[in-house]
Amino acid sequence: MIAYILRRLVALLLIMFLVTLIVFFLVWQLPVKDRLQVYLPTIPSSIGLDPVKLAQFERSVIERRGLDDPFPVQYVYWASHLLVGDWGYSPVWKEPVLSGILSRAPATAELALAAMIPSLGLAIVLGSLSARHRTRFADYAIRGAAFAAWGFPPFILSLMLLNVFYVNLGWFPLGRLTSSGSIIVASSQFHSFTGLYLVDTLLNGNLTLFLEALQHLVLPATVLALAQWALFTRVMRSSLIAELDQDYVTLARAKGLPERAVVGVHARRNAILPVISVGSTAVSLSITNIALVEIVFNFNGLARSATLAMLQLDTPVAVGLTIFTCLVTVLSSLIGDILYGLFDPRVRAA
Amino acid sequence: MELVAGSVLLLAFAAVALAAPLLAPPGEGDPYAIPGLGIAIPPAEPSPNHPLGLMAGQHDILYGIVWGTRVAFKVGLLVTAARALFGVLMGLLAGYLGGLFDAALMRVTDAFMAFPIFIAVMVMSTLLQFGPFRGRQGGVQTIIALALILFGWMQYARLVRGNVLAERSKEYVQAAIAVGVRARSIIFRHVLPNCVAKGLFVLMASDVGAMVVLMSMFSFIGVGGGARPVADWGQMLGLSRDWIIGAPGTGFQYWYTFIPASMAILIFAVAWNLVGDGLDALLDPRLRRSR
Repeated sequence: MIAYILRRLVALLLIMFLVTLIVFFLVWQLPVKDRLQVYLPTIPSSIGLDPVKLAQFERSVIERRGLDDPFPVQYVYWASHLLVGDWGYSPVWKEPVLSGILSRAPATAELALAAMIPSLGLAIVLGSLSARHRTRFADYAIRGAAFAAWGFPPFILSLMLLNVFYVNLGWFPLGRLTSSGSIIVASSQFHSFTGLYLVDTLLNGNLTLFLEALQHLVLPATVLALAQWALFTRVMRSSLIAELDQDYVTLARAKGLPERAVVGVHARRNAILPVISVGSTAVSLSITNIALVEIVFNFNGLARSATLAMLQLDTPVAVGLTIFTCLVTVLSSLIGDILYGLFDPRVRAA
Repeated sequence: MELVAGSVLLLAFAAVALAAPLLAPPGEGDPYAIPGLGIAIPPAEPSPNHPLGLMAGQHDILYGIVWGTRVAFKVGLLVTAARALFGVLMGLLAGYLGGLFDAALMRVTDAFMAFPIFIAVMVMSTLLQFGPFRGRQGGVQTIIALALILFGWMQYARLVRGNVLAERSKEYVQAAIAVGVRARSIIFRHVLPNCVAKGLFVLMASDVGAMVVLMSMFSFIGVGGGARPVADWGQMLGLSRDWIIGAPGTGFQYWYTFIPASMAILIFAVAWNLVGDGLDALLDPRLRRSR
């Protein structure tokens, strides 16, 4: 198992190397002058408006940062800074990119988990139900729901939910917390353990705030969860159907095992494997949807504030966010691989 | 069943696209720019002359929906075709040449797959606006389309590579090699036609709708949407952003500013999905039996 994980880790490093090459290739498309802007948020007052001095100053920055060097040299310079955590300075956030990303990530992680956990659980239950009652009413109902949830663009769905549940009914507010709630969270009495409000409020014993945070999560998490649920349910159904046709299931039934044990103990365990591998690739799909719902529902997480910065052409944030999300997707596929290995001994041996 | 429903919907869209000059006669100049009928800011409710109402700035919504159908087909089909073409070429090369080339290409595929499409589009549109596309009309739209292609070919490459690997060991390919047919004509004249049917059209069909949804989403968020109202469903939604959320209790007050465009996007995407699913069932006999 350890050798298997190590092999996956090496593959991960290789992929991240290629990812940084792709990103730097895009950065490379910028003319030197514009790459320079990234390093020149403000011009020292001693230079003022004197064009000669300004040109000299720009020249010195270009040389100091090696912006004239050939691609490989600049790449190594940039990548080595990346490795030691120097991800540049964001002119819009007005703080270093890496710390900006890390301080905003927990909100997004909370939203992602709030959607992932229920959708995965429901998909396994309903997908098996659908497979076991193939071509019967429950199957048609679940498949119809999954088709609708999969085909309905999350983007359109969130606009509809916004109008019905926020504007008309006023059931679910926008944002992450009300302003009074945010004040409590920011105060010194409130200890921040994880940055996930659902966890932190419970650890602080503040049940009202927990319910408030939950209320704010309902709409964005529902939109996210629906699309994932549809995908997982379809995969779960078809893989369980394939398992139920296998000889070992026939044998288990023939020796008189109750159906619950046949499905629950034998078939379902194998059928979950494809769901795991789809789940780890679905992370990439979900990131697009997360960005969308954060923007539509004013949920102040990483994706929303980075998108707002990028709309103001904040290049350091664009580059930093890309590296960070690629790391997230690659790591989640590693976790998927490890889980797969735990469930399926054949993979470990290969 | 799904195939029929999807095809009927698509034919209806195609009819609208073809009949656009009859359904919504354009004025002078660019027919894709929605003519403005005044300067009043608030949108106007549907009326006999304007069955779907007017957007802010008095632009006829029906006109935008009708001409937007053409844009949706154009964008969806072009981007999908480019993705598929690039991916199929890569997959053919990887599968047929094999060895080191295949291994390297598959790692590159993995690297591209690490980019969520939202992130890929955002980073490209942020960075390249400084580069060759600076200040060009529709430049950002072009960047988005490029990003959707550059970061969207991998599924095709994987699919075709798998098909080619399965096909390569078959006798007819071995025979062609033995007779001395050149590699290029083995790939294109023998292997390609045999593995195209497997999954390629299914993937393409659902991609066309997905591309239109994605492009609309980016216009809505504010990437690439100009202030000039053009007949593009996504941009119409983006320009109506301020009218979508009203005061408490007044949801859907300006429904005509976003419902028609939303429904057009939704039905267009569903139609392509239906066609994709229908093709899938038609071409895969195993699925047909389980239904």
